[in-house]
Amino acid sequence: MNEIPPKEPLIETIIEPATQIDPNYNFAYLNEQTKKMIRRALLKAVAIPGYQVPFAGREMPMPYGWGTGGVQITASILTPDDVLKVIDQGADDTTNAVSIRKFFQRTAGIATTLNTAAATVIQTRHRIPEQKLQEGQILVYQVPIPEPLRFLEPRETETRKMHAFEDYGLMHVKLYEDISQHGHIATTYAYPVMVENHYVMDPSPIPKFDNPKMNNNPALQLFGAGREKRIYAIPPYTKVVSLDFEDHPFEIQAWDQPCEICGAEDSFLDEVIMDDQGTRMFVCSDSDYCQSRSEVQS
Amino acid sequence: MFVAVKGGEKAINNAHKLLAEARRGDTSIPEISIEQIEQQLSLSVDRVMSEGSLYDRLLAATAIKQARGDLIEAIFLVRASRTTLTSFGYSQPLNTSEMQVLRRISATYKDLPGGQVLGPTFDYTHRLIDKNLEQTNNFPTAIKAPASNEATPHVLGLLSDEGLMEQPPTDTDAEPNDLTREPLSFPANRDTRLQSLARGDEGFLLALAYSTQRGYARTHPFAGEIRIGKVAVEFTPEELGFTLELGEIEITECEMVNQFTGSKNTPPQFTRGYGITFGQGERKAMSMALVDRALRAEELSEDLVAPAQDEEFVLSHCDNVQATGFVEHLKLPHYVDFQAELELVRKMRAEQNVGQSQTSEAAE
Amino acid sequence: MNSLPATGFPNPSEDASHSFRGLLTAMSQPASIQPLTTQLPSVGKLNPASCLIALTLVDHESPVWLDDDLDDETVKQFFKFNCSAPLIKQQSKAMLAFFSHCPSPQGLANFNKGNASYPDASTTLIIQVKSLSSGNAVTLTGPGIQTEQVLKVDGLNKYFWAWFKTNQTIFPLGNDVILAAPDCLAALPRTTKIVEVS
Repeated sequence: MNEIPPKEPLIETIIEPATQIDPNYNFAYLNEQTKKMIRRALLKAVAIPGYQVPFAGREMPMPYGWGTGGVQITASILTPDDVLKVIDQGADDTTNAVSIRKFFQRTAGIATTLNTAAATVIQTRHRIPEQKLQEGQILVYQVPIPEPLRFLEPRETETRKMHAFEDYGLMHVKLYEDISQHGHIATTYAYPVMVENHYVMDPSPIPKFDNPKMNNNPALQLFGAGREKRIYAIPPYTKVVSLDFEDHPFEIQAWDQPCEICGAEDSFLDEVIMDDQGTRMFVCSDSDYCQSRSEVQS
Repeated sequence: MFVAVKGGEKAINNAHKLLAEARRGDTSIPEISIEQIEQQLSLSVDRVMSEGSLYDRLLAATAIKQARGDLIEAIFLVRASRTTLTSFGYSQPLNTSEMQVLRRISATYKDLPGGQVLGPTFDYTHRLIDKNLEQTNNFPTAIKAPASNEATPHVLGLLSDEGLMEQPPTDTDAEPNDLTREPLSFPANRDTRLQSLARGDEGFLLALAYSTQRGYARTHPFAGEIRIGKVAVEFTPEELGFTLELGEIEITECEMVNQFTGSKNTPPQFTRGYGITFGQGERKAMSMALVDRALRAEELSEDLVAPAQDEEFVLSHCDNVQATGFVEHLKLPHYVDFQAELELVRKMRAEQNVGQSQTSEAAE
Repeated sequence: MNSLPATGFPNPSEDASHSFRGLLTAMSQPASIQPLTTQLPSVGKLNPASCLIALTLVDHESPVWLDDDLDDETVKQFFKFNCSAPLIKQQSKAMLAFFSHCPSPQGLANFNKGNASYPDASTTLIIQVKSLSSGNAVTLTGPGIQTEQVLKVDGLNKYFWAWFKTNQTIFPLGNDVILAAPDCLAALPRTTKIVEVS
């Protein structure tokens, strides 16, 4: 029940096999002392869903704000048997995703894939894959600002207290002010959720389109904020609810047209500007989803 | 086409090659050596060591060369390299009163034991571009006094002897907090604050220090003493139980003397703001001392009115590696979130248009 | 110089990565049985699962408390030598506590339960049990469990589940428990709820 099913031969072919580790580095770059510290924080994070565990984040060889939190988590959970997928904006071939994938190929010699189903660990920035995740998979989110209350109250000393007392009134007031002013909740990404009826949590800047995927997901979801030095988690099969109001229920984005490449009507679309005459094209943000659908059709 | 964002890997590899070319510049001009940077751009090296939290001159010089002279980038390189080093423990506190001083000045006394030593300073240079530097091998030789054996006690110590200076903290044996091993939490202790400021960005601290002088948390400072020179670093390995000298490092230390009118529990006296850097970093050390003192507002029951007194604000934003990463991460693609915003703004505008046309219809 | 005692990981980095994934799975799928990823001998009364947990999680920054049966030179040497662990007597300061057998509820009263601002400051309790394949069954639910999960465990005393129930009432404070059998382990985070004890 804990293992993902044996991989089909078809899937084997889409895995780029393990490579030689750069001998100048410990497995997955971090030294064992640092991994132990992060591993202890991860177990606490899983045991207290949605709570932000402080950890002594290290300086990584990539800039703060570019995924150092996610990279430290991935480095601490990887085993040599893992198959890693890295996405940014839903796509495997965006520059920062390429850069992080190469980092782990070099320092962990890890097998990689672009295929969501073939991956055991997926590191992501700003999206949850469209394809449903399975038990045994781990989704690692890169988080810029882990504190959902930060823009309402900039002080950590205050927000800690608000979480301690489950004092989330300010958040509801903010969302409701949006409604009275604009007729809508004006938060479209990093839309706050409540985890297991307790902690209000920032889901990282995923579009609110992805929020429902967090609820009751069979995969383990881990969140790393390197600059802010926080780790948090959602265990599998955990209740995650987007904040809303009875008269203004939570709703997700919808498009008037399907993806122009694969025809998907259920995926998050990127808008691409084709010329200076206002011609636009809408395509899936999840490159693997789009490609696998196109292949089936052709 | 939308494929413009694809093919990231090739683009990255090519960008790295272009960067290496740009770093080297015109190949008809000799390449700068690490030793040249270490010797001739030594104040850059000092800043990179200080804010990189690692005393290694040649490593800092290499980082400066690799960073094309961008000091924040060089600091970042040094920090990332520092992460991979094993920590053996903490040194004994530096005994800066036994410093071999290269420069030592006090603005509070005309003369004092050990004397005023001007040292290599820009202070009284006229800021005129020196055309002689266009040629090489062209510099005057300084007359050097023989090394003095006279002791140079701390100026603030002299004030302490008279009972006019607050007493320094006494628990010097306590293991310091280390924010490279423990996450920063608030309220922070003074040792954590000082570590954070010592790693902090010179420009940010300079601006904050300046703000205190202009009335945003005025602290009535005097430069009690600034000293630059070499001090011994000593370490006591637990398994040996006695102290070893590991070597010497050059540091800059600044102690500000600040007036304090006293409070309910404390008589009027002078208080201290403290700044320290690796190498020669006078501007940074002075700025740090002013900000350190401003951050002691709560401890000294002063009104909290200005940014420089706000511990969470100062400590959360003084690290230039963190700051540059997060500011510059805006370069990364954000088109998913932007798409989400576009959708909302379009929807709201459409609703407003409907609303307006309904209103105008009703008015007709 | 003595050579390393043969109780550490043969391949430290790789072995620790596998055993941590086992622990992470255990904690995120409560009461699921995780095999031991490296075969280790017992050290005194410290069983192989406890040894594995210690080698995976303990270092000089994680104070460890040992119960009376584990508080002997062999076990202490293991912790000092292989983990550089600070061994402490003060229960409230312990990050991890190792029990050779199931303690009484009073024996658990003084461990750190975390505080409202930092519930993660609580002590993680590692309790050795005889078996996780036989013994009384308990039905559990909560985050990480799709519907219900049955756990068979031999070696917990009759007060344990009552204590665990009170442990939940102080959420988000509370202790997380790892049950260490000779050949496998399972975790009971503070979020896990008891449906039925048979």
